[in-house]
Amino acid sequence: MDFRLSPDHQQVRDMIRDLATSEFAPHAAAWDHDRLYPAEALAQLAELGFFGLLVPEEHGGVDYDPIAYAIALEELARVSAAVSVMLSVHSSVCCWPIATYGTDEQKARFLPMLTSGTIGAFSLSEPGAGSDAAALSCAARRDGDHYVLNGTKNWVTNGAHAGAIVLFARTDPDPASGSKGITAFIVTPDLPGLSIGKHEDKMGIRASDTVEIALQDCRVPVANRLGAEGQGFKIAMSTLDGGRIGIGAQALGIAGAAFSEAVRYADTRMTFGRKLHEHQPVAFLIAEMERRVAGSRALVYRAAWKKMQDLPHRIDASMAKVYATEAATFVTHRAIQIHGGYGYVKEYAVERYYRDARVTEIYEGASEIQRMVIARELVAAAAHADPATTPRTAETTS
Amino acid sequence: MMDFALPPTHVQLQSRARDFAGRVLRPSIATLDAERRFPVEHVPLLAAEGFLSIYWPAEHGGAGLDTLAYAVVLEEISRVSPAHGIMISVQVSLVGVPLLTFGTAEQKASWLPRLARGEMLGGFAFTELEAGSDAGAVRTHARREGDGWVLNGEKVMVTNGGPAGVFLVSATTDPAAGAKGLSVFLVPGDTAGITRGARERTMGLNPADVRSLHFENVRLPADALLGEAGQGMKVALAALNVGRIGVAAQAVGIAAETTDRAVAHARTRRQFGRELAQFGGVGEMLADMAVDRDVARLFTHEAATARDRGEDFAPLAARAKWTASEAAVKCADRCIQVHGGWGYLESTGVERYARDARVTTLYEGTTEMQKLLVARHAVATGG
Repeated sequence: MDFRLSPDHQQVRDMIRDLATSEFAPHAAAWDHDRLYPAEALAQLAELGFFGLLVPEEHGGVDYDPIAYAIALEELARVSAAVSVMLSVHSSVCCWPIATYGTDEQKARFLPMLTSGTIGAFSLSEPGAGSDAAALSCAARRDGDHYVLNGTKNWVTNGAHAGAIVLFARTDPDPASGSKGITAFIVTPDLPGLSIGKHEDKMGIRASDTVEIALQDCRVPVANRLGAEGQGFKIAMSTLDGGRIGIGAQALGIAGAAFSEAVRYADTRMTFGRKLHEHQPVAFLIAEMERRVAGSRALVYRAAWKKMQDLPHRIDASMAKVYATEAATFVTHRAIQIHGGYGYVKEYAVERYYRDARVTEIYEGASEIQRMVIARELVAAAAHADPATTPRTAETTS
Repeated sequence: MMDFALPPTHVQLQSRARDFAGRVLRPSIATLDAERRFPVEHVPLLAAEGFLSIYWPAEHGGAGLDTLAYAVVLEEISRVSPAHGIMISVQVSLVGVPLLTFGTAEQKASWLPRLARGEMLGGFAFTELEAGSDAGAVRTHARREGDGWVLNGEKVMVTNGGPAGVFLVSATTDPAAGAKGLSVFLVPGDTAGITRGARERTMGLNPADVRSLHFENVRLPADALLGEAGQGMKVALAALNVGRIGVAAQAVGIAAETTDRAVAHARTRRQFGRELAQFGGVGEMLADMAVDRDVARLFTHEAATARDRGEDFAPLAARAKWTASEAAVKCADRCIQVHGGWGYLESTGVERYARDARVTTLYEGTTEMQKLLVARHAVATGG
């Protein structure tokens, strides 16, 4: 048992940390402030292979293991949560489902393009269907070699620049079909009838674009259907399982960066003749922040490790996501508090961390959904236990 | 290599401890708790399993395992009886570590094997009325007389205070020097001049024997001094750093047991036509308990494995102790909540965990002391 990164993984961490600190850190505040799409940074990441993190080598990827992948997202988020989430969406919820559920033809058509620098997106949410994804209403009607899509999708990260979007629509028009009537498609921006709508002006992760997509008699070739008809919900859920560890890692990166800033400030700023951290309430805050960062790290890497070992990890991914994202909000909030008025101005990075952290509790499954998943998994595990004894959870891992 | 799995040896040990706790402790714990009876009959049984000397080297009669094994055993024992957990932890860490680290060959040979065999238990007498977290404020005094020492003073809240055959006692040997004048003595429980106070009536951990000790002109030989005079704080910290892993593991046991019991109740009890677990509010409670339990266990195992690799584990132990003890208090309380009125009845057997959990945020360094340690380390390492 050993919770430390292996030397290989430490190398990955150092490499990404160097890149992010030297190349991205000087621009992160401006990207945020001006809502600038960080095209050069993304090109640089693609150049270094980061657009193929979850893609097998045969399709142009670098096939990172889940731990290395979490490291990449954590380290990028320490500098720019926006770049981290762009890469997370591209990798976890666009490349991964195509590599996992795509036909050979689809993989050959989309993966080399995605790995070589064209960003990907994922589109499940609708104005009327967020956490309750089975309630989505965007319609896909079969018409010969095509499906005809009509509806509105929203909250599409990377949507404005995406070369491929994994998008979900209802092929069974009966709303009673619920999750069983949903099908996944790979859509491209050149399809007639697909238009990019409003760009959201967000509280945080402002360098990443979030758009609405309007589908009006949009004709999608049958060859672009991902998986079978009706398999869409299952694809969406398994995709999000992987995405959750990524968002946990992103939150961990934001929290870790804010914590470092807070400690540095508390160790230099003097009040009442003492350093800030020498006042007990500030010391206690620092302690609380430290353990939440450490708890996030332990849960995120445990989930990534279990995934790497092919062990069941749905509950672990949800635990990592809910704990790390709530920790990020807490830690960034308190980092502002420790900075006092300076924390509220844009000269310091902590207010950006706070705004960036807030969304992590919402996207890829809100905290409420994660707790529901955890509770269900606990109950299912107890149901499998021997009824003659007190049911207990498996704990041959930490 | 990163690895979150318990090694096979520890999985085996875990099931042995689980079996022992279910077979030996579970049938008697409700009675022991109700009658506040110290389970003296369990001492040889625990010794036979090696649980009273888990990580002591075999050459001193110990079980020869590691700190992770200690954490695994304490979690399993404390799932059933946290009182047994602290009895073990005091002996293995608070008495064992000072002897192993600072004892002479003779001191080790004369005490460790007997303690390991369960012929006697050890006690750790450091706290005084006016010296709790502030261990440097100790007033118990040891004065040189010939080759030996004469001890006078009073200690409170000594776990294993009644049954222990040997105590580690802190006393000042140089009152002017404050914390630097603190020394530690090995004092056999039957030495003339020791009076044991009455059993304390504690809120929880009822089977544990906690009491005060009064020392009046207790004459000790020269070799009663453990380590050097003035080394007392060092001895105390060495003991408490490992002891905190033990308390953390004890608390993880409470958190794990109460989480499992809450889940078991919530998935069978029906109200308004469905199982409790189907209600979102109850589901959230269960989820939060499981997350708190897991973070507590991760921190505890992290601290234990760091110690086993010879690394500085003190800040990790402080974080684990703080987090696990708070998780135990919260999980035990939520477990009662999920059980509703039934949780408030002794016969349901969950209220005991709330009473037992409460002390874990207090002893071997309060939550506030752990926070200071964690914060100091964070500042020293730059966050």
